[in-house]
Amino acid sequence: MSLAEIRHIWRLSAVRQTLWLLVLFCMISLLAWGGTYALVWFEMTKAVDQRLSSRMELALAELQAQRPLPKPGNGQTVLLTKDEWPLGFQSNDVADGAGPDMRFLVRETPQGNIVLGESVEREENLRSILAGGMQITLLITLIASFAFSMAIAKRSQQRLDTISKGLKEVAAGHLDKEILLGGTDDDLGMLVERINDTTARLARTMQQIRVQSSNIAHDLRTPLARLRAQLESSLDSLALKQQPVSQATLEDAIAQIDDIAEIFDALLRLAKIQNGEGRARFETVDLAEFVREIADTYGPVVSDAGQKLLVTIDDANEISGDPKLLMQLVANLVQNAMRYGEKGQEINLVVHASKLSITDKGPGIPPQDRAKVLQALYQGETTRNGNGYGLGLAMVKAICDLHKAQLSLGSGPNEVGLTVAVQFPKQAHQ
Amino acid sequence: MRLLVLEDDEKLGPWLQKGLRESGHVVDLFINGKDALVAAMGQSYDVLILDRMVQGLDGLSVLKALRQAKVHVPTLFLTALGDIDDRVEALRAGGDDYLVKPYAFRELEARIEVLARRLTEPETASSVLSAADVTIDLYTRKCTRKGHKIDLNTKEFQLLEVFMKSKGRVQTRTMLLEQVWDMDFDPTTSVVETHISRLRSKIEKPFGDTLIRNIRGTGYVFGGD
Repeated sequence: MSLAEIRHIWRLSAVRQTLWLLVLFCMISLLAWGGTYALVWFEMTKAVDQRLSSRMELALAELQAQRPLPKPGNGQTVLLTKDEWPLGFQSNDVADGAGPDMRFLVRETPQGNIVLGESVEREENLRSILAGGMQITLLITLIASFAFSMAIAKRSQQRLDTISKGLKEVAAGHLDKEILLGGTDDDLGMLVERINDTTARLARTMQQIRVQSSNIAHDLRTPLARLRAQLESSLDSLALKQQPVSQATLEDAIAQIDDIAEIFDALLRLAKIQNGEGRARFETVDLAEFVREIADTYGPVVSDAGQKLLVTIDDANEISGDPKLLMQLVANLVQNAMRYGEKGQEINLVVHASKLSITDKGPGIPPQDRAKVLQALYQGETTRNGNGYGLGLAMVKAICDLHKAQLSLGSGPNEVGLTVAVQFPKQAHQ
Repeated sequence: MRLLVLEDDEKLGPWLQKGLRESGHVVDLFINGKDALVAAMGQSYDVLILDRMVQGLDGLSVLKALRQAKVHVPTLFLTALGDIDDRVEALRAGGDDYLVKPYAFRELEARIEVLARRLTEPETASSVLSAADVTIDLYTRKCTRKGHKIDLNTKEFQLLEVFMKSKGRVQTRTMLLEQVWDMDFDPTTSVVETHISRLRSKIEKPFGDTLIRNIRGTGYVFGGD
């Protein structure tokens, strides 16, 4: 295995996790087994020491009775010596490790030091058997758990690889690709579900953007084509028929450029609103005051058009919003009502609590088509029906979305006309 | 007036310079932010007209540097960025007005006039404005002409106030929308025209003369010649 491969394996989080677990496992095992070992060793030494103590009692009694010291048994030694010995219990290698290990008990008497010895060879053997057994089990456990955890790591790594591969495809632009993980419904499964969800939403957004850009192209190309045709024809008249370009032609051309710039502005603005920019400018707006402002501004305009704007304010709430955008929202709705309503009609602008609605007496939208109109708004397809009408409604929809307001279409009283209602969310009390 | 124009578009710049010169202004054109900054620091201009995006030092940085050096010449931004946030940023940096490309030359002219006037005619502290024979009280919101009381609604009053404060200067439709209605979008309906016609029917009709004139293709002007 090369260094790079090891490094790669080390980078896999599953492997790293299992290795850490293994290290922890080893440490705990060593502690536990070390403890057991020490305990056993301590108990065995205690037994030897007890035997030495009772032999010492016996030896002391014999010595006091002026009898010879008891004969040592197998593996035991007895010695009465004038040599200096450290007193008490001690372990000692008799012949520098060559002979059997011994444990001694030394007691001082007037006749000299009594040195009792006992071989601890049996205990030593037991100890090494115990240690060997422990080492073997530790090794086997280590190998087994290493193999097992590697297998687990490999499995979860395969699942992670599947996700990683899937994401790579998504990054390469295949937004329609879904990651299929299979297997149990675990945390990775949930993660994949989220990823697939996100990808699907991304795909929808991309689709919307595509539709919108083609709408933009359409909305701008048509007036540009008109302008071009007009300028071309006056250029032709100038070149071929020596007809001078008239002031009206130029004025008309400028007016068309203004229209194009306006559509462009509106589209940019729409995109910004849809992006959620503008939420920073939110402030508290008193709906009653706001609607009075609308009435002041649009009342005369509506009545000059031979229609009537009736305003009803019923227990109006305060909402949170961008006053300029709200103004645009209502302005667009009033304009639509004026455009599609009958001459001499009444346009009813009603505010009730946090709901604002506008009813005209125009042809309305049949119930079966209302959902379609709103649906089309969701897909950004409405800018196609020309003369800014669709763009206006798309703007209304976007402003509603920005304010988290509910936009709904209905019919006016007695099934006459169209009611567009905007239900703003209740403002949370600070 | 002495104007500084910072515009690096090779067609727009000279066209602006030519147009403004024809209107009787002295115009220095710069295509580079640094040169414009040096000039604005060293000489006294009546109005600066800065493009937001030019090569090198952009208009916004030029203005920030000027304001830091306590040069308070009225400044108008020209920009292809029409976003509300860009507008706010420009005004916060010390800009006085903001015009989005493509703009009508007359719109630019009208705005330059207003900006220059701010310098020469500081606003009076008085709450009573008088022009021609019209008097309005900003405090009591009352309007009289030749001693006759005239009832105006809120919007009509605001319109008249804007006109009287800029007597003799052209107010374009966009300028009125911004000042009276706080609208930064174009309402396709005739909001401005309708309200002006109402206002005129109240302050002119009973007296049989003309106070507010429509300048075709440009806007409206109150009083003056």
